[in-house]
Amino acid sequence: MKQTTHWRARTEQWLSDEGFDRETADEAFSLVFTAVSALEPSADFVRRTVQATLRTQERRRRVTRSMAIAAGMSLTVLAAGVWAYGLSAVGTPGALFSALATVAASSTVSLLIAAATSVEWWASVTGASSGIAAAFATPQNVGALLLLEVAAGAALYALHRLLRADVGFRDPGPLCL
Amino acid sequence: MPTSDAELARQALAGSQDAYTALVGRYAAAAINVAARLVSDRALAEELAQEAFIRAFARLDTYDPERRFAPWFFQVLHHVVVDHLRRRRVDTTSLDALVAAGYAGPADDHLKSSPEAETERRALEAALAQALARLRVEFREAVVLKYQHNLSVEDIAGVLGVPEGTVKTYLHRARKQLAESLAAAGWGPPA
Repeated sequence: MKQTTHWRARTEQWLSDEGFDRETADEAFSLVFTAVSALEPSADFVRRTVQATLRTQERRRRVTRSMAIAAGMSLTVLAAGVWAYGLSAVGTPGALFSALATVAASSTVSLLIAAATSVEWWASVTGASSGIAAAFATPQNVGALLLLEVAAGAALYALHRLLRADVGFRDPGPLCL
Repeated sequence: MPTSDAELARQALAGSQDAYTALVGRYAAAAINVAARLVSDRALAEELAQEAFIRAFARLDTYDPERRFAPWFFQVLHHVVVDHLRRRRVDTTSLDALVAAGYAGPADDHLKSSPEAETERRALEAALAQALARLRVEFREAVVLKYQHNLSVEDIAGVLGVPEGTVKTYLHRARKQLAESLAAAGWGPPA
C-alpha cells in the first residue's frame, strides 16, 4: 500500500476540491504551492544591480548634459549668425534691435503655428522611425520581411508568365473578322 | 521596526544609495523568481530583474507612496519581461533546469524534517514546475504573483493591466489546467 505523505495528501485534497468549490480549491492549492521553493539571487546580485543602476544614471546624466550643451551651442551659433547677417543688412545694432522687434511682433502667430506644426511632424517622424527600427530590431523580423518580398516577387513573376501564356494562346475567333 | 518600502523609495529618490540597496535586497528574490517562471532561464531572469530595478529607479518619481510598492514594482518587471518576450521567442517548455538550479529549500520547514516528505516535496515541485511551464505566460504570471508572492487579485490586475474579472478567470483556468496535469502525472486521489 502506498504511504501517504503530507504533500500527497495536500495535493489529493486540492484535486478533489477543484471540481466542487472555487474558494476551498483556492486555499488547498495555496498549501500545495508551498512545495515550490524560491530561487535565491546570486551572491552579488544586489551589488551588481546597484552598480548598474548608478552607471545607467550617470550615463543618462552625461547624455542629457551633452545634449543641453549641443543645443546651447547651436542656439548661440544661430543667434550669432542672425546677428551678423542683420548687422550687415541693417547697419547699426539699434536699428537691428528695432527691426527684429518689429518682425517678432508681426509674425508671433505664424511662428507659433510653425512651431506647433514642426512638433507634430517631429512626433510623426519619430513614431514612424521607431516602428521601422522595431521591425528591423530582430533577425527574425528581417527574415520574415525578406521572405515576404521574395514571395511577392515570385507571385508577380508567376502572374506575368500566366498573362503572357494567356495572350500567346488566345484564339482570336470571330472578334478578328 | 523595519523601514517601509515607501520610505526607502523616498530616501532613494532623494539620493540615498543605502536606501536603494535595501530596496533591491528586499525585492531581488521575488523579482528573480517571477522572471524565472516566465522565461525559464535563471541567468536571463537575473538580467531581466536587474533591468527592472534600473527602470524602476529611473521612474521612481512616478511611484505613489500612498500605495504599496510591490505591485508597482511587479508592474515594471512585467513590462520588462513582456518587452523581452516580444523581442525574442523564448523556450517556455522546460523548467527542469530551474528545478535543479539552486533552490533554498521548501517554504514549509516542518515538512522538511522527514526525508520521505522532502523527497515527495521535490517530486511535487518538479511536477508543478512542468505543469506551470505548459501554462500560458499570463496564467503563469498570475499564479506566481498570487500563490508565491501573495498579491491580491486587485494588485495582479494592476500589474498585468487587465480587469479583476480577467485575473480571476486566469487563476481559475490555470488551476484547472494544473490540476489536470498533476492528476495525469499520478498525483490524483486513488480511484
